[in-house]
Amino acid sequence: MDETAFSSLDFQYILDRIEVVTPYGQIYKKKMRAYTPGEEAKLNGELNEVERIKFLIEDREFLRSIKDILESIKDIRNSIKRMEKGGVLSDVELFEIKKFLISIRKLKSALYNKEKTLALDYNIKPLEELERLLDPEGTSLPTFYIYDAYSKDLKRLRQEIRYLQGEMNKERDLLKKKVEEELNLKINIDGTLIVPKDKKDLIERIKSYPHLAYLGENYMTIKYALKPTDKMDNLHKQIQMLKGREEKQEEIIRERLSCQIRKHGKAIWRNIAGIGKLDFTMAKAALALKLDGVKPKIISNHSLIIKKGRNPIVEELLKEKGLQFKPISVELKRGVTCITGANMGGKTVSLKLIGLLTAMAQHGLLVPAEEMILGLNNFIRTSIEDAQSLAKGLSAFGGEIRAVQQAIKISDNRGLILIDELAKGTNPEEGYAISKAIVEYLLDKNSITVITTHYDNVANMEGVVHLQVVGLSHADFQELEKKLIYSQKDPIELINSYMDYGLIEVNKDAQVPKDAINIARIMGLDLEIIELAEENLKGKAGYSGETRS
Amino acid sequence: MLLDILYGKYKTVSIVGMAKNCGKTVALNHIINEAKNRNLTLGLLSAGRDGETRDLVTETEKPMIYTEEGTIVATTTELLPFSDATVEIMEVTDYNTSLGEVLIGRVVYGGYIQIAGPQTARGIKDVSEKILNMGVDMVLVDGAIDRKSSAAPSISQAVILSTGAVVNRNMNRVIEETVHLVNLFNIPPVEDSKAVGVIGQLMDKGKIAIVDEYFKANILQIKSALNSTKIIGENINHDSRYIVIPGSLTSNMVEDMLTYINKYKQVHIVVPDATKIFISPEKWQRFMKIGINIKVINPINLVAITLNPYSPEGYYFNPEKFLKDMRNYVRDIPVVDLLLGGE
Repeated sequence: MDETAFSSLDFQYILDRIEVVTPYGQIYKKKMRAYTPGEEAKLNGELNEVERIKFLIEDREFLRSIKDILESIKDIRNSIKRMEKGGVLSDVELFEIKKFLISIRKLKSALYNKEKTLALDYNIKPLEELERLLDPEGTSLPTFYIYDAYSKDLKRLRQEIRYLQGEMNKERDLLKKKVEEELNLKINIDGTLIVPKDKKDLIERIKSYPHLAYLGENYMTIKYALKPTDKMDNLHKQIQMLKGREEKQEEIIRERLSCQIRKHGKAIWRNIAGIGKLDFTMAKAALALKLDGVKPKIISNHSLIIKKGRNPIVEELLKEKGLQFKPISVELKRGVTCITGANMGGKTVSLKLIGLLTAMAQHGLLVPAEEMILGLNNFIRTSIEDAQSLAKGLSAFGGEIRAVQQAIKISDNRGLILIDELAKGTNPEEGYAISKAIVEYLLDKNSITVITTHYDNVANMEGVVHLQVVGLSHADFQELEKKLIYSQKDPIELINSYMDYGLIEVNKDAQVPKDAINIARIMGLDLEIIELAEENLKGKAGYSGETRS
Repeated sequence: MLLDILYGKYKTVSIVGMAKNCGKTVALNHIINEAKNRNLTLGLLSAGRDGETRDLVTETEKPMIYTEEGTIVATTTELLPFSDATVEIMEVTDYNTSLGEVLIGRVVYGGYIQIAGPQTARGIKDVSEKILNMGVDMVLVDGAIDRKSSAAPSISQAVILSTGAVVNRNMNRVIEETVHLVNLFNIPPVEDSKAVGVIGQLMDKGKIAIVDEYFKANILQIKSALNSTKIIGENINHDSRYIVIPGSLTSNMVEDMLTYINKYKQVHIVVPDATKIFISPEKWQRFMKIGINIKVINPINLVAITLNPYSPEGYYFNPEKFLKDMRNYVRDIPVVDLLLGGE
């Protein structure tokens, strides 16, 4: 699928709905690609797995339990990479790794009993040794710090510091009390004292008082602070020294922990990959559940059968308006198939559906259809006029020719070619000639080509399969018109609701359906013009005769 | 002293300053010390300090706070290694600051630590709730100094306001501005529960609107009320009851609306909370005299005021006089000078 096909089939819409929750699932999603001929078995394996998980997550509770765990998983790749290069992990990183290990264990137990149903091995294996390493006190709590249990030295240091700080506080309280008693005043909670300058006696007394130190003054007051005793100075020095040693000890432990975790680096990566794969496959299964998708049957023979397929994008739009998508069935073989039908008859919708469902199936996704049988393609090329190709500044015809030429170049390489309204942008005579030539050329090429066209005689060529959109041919036009008069609905919506997007194969003498005048009437084109047009059609039956070789 | 006002009544308390160096940290440390003496467990976080470890104006180091064992603190992943306390990491949140993600931890061995927190009201509320759920007696929020960004008051159950000499060289001016802020904090909330529901929703969505007496909202298609007061005014009629302003309310905005509002005395201007009002004391007096009605959705519960008579710029007020005068003007809320000592 090239960029043009990707955008004209709206494949991004599908990608956006594959909602992975972990950063690791994101990697798998980014690496997602289409399986090509020769990889049928691999694709089948993946589709089977998606189907199995789809079945599992129909149990909402199970889905929630797994999602809760996945949502709590953070990206620890940078920490692991840094550690593998010899870096020392910080407390926060050790905390994140511990949480990761706990998540693995939770995932494993949430998947317990379900693993038999799952074919793929997700390599989600708890690393008990590491869990114990990061939970040395066996609390099983998802928290972390450099525990006392890591080293007797550390524990002793910390207890000593705590003891000395207690001594320090006692000493300070004693001093405070002593000063308060001796001077008969109250010291602030932060150990300071503010004295108004008019209390000259007190100031004089403090001058020679050994336990208060001058801090500063202004015009009105002087600020003093408790002067630490020798014992306090000593305690302070000791605490600072011990704190330094504590810090060193902690760093040694971090190094040791990092070193031990390093030994399990590969196992961590395997778990990361396993989580990514599980997350990604679950996201695909969740999409399948949402779209009511089925597993496409992958065969080696190059062909394409869709039974009651739905275009999820159009389906969603219709649903918003309270309308239903009328499913499309189609059987395609190598060679050229032409789709004809009225304007607004959903030819383009059919074409996009064929491309989108094929792309989805080849990307390992379940498809919104009752059944799909697919022989893999090496490529999908489209020429479907959309806003983007117009934005690139190519004229409709120019863009079309370029896209078609790119497809023709590789048309012998087993692919799917989808061309919408071949050569419609040019004069009918030449357009017909070019269309016919392209169809002739592609007829015996090694690709499945689907072309929508207005030209009867292209569709009726020998060897071309001709499909017609049912369109409004089954609709009761009188009833429709009545409805139009009485209902407030937008005529476009009304036509949509009567439109049958179904495709039927017709023999080669069939005429292209002529619903255009009917639709124009419903849309409210002046009746006089409609009558003239009908006259013209009768009288000018020869026009299409002219081009009918 | 302060703890008596708080303990047993409020679970979340924020401390905000009228300006830098108003003694906010002194007040915080005071409560921490009182809590320690009563063996209470505290939770500490700071409202969106966003990494400025240095106060750029005065070049004073932002204070580290001494935390006791068992305290639950919010800090950031990058500040944690500099912590003097030993902290057990409980949770690394998704709130980001320029110094890493906000994390919540329990102090295992006491020591100094720099506390931090999220910047948004929602974030502060969320982290305070998380800390409360970890089993503390009370959460203290070190609120931002800048009123514009201070979301803390409206999400806390109680607020302590720190004011001081640094606000203005003229003591009377400091008192006036403080009294003004107290008045703003006392603006009554919208009482009608139906109106609160409708207005609250509009504010959450940031919609400027006029709500009529049947609680129908006329949402005005303007982005900011600052330059669009004329449009607001023209949309007021006999049925209008509330003008919903989800952002700041300035003097100019009220002036511009005056001619319209004067016609319809039943109309209230509603802002999210008092910190969103930027109207000088003089203008405020005038508006009140004319009979302008201003209401809030989230009331602020001011429970105490602390004073710092010293300014780092070198001037100071007479502490006793400052305290006495302030108490004269603020009668129903306790006013204390924590350094002057208790009475």
